[in-house]
Amino acid sequence: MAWSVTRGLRRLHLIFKLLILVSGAALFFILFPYLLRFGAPVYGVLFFLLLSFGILFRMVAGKQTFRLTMMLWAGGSVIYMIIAAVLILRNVQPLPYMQMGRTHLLLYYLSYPLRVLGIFFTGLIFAGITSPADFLRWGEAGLRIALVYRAFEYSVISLGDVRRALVLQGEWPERYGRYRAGQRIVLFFRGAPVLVATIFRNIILWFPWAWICYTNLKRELTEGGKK
Amino acid sequence: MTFSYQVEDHVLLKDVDLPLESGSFVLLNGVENQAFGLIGGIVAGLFPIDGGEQIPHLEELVKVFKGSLNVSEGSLPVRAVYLGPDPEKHLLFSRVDEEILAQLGSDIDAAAVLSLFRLKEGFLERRISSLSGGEKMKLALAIAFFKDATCTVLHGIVPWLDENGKACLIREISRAQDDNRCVLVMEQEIDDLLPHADRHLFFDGRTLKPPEEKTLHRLGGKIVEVSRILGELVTSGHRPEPVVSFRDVEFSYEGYRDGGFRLSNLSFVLESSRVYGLIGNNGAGKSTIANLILRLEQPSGGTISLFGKPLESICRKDLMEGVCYVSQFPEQHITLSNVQQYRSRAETKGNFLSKKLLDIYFESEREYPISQLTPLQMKALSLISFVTDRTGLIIIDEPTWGIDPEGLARFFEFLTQAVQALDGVTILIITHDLALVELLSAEVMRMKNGVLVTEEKPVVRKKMGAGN
Repeated sequence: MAWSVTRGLRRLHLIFKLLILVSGAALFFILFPYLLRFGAPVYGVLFFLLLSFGILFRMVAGKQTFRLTMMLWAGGSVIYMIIAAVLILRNVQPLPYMQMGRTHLLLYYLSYPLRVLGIFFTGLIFAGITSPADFLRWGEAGLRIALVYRAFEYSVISLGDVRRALVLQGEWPERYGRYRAGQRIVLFFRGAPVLVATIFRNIILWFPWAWICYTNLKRELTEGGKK
Repeated sequence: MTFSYQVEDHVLLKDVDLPLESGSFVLLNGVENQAFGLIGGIVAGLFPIDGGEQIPHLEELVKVFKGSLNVSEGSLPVRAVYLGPDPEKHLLFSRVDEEILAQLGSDIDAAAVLSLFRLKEGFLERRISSLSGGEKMKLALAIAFFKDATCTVLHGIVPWLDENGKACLIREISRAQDDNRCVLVMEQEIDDLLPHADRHLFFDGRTLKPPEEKTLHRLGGKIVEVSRILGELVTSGHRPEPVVSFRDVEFSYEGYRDGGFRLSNLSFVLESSRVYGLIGNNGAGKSTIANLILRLEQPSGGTISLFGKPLESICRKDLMEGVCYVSQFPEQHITLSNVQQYRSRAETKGNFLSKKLLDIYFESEREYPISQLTPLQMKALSLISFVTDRTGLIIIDEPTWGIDPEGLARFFEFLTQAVQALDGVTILIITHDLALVELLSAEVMRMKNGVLVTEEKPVVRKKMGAGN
């Protein structure tokens, strides 16, 4: 079933794929403050939508990517929760145009990581069902978007490669390893900056050639040229 | 055509005389430096890139592509296609069918494109990221040969290809010649291609000249000699103790039913102080075996033992110290910014063997930023920085990729120095290249569709890079 859902989504017109992206962003972030006027049930609806997006993402991305996404999200959420606890205790109002009671305040702060997860799911579903080729119909601008999008794809591939390299060097928690309590999290936080910096370096090293190849493809498309 | 190329005041290519006549097949080998890579891009019209074209923040990296080209005789091919050693840079889209559609147009029979390199129609719906390196190269080659061009330039593609792939390549080159197209192949592994080439030229680091028998034999002879020394050194202390043991191992990647492969009931033993050559076609499962030993993947059934202990019971620190892994693409495994940082790390961790070898190979007063290292230096760095005095197994994935015969000989010399400092080590070479395995007098393990096919120890020796 999973494969047919993914295939169906991939065959959608780019406009519909963009609609999924925009609707996710709207539900989980942009429109969220305005939805709060409907009270606590909003959180129930939000949770249901998050679950739906999560199932869809698991179908599109597969087990490994899903696990990695959840790990990255959980790591960020731990840091956020520490900060949020201070803000909650101090009763800091998060929105300048709205005064929240204690329950709402608590729900708002605690739902924040879930909304971030919703954004993760939406963005990664979009990435999973969209290809740089989808943008080609937009001419030269599309070709540039395709290059940027390909750079994003490359960074995802690089993420996997660098993570494996760090596992081999004992600087990232391995999936099948046994760790003492907390050791996995310590490794995760220690390795994260190296992971990000190395991915960034790899993109920089990859980009000039990708640029040259895209420019060449553009030239070929302009001149025509197949057997 | 004859051309020169310089960047600022530095002449990288001097009077390069390339006889690119229609219907001809020209084979280049020689020193694999930065200038060698530029030749293909220049012939294909990729370089120099337009000086006005700005690549933000990357000017230093692209400086070499913005040099000045002087064509003193003849002219560049009208329409040339270039394919370099990293297919990842040439495959620009997500799925195989999209790649073909975007690069060749919608009126193309995509299955026919795939058939040029015997890729099955089922590949069309696969994501490019799910293909093995060899499969990516075959796809890129199929697209390159399908394009309408007067000249096809291929650089560093053979190390990716299995026997089927090489046979397809030779057939497509021949077809291109029949269509009056010129084919320029820049390669270090030339043994299979040389009998079919119309011209063979040697790059000395700056210009082209006819290959001299003396040079070729010196390089070929050097590799044979260092390989012999390495092989003998490793096997001198042979003890029939198991280093790695696979028993009825089962493994499959997620989604293997969509065209992937699976390992089924895989059993073998690697003994101490031996050299093993794991060979096989693209996607046969060679690298997966390394991933299982390194515990990057977990088998769904069966058991794996390392140094006599169940693999899952070994802590990562012991695994790191016991197994040294050199990837086909070492830049992916180099996570520090320069060689000095590796030197400092070796000191901090008390890895004196690594420190000693780093001092021999990399001058201590230089930083060596990673972005400026050659593939040979990266492989050497990867080997040197991850070897420890407790290393009992060295796994090297495709050692010939991106390096010339002289570089390979130097790499083997470093390996020899590392082995000398170790008390009994087993080497597992993962390669497509049987000749390399034969040179090291290695035990051959052939993978075929996830199954290990046992072979006799090779007897016949071939010369590497000697163009015999």
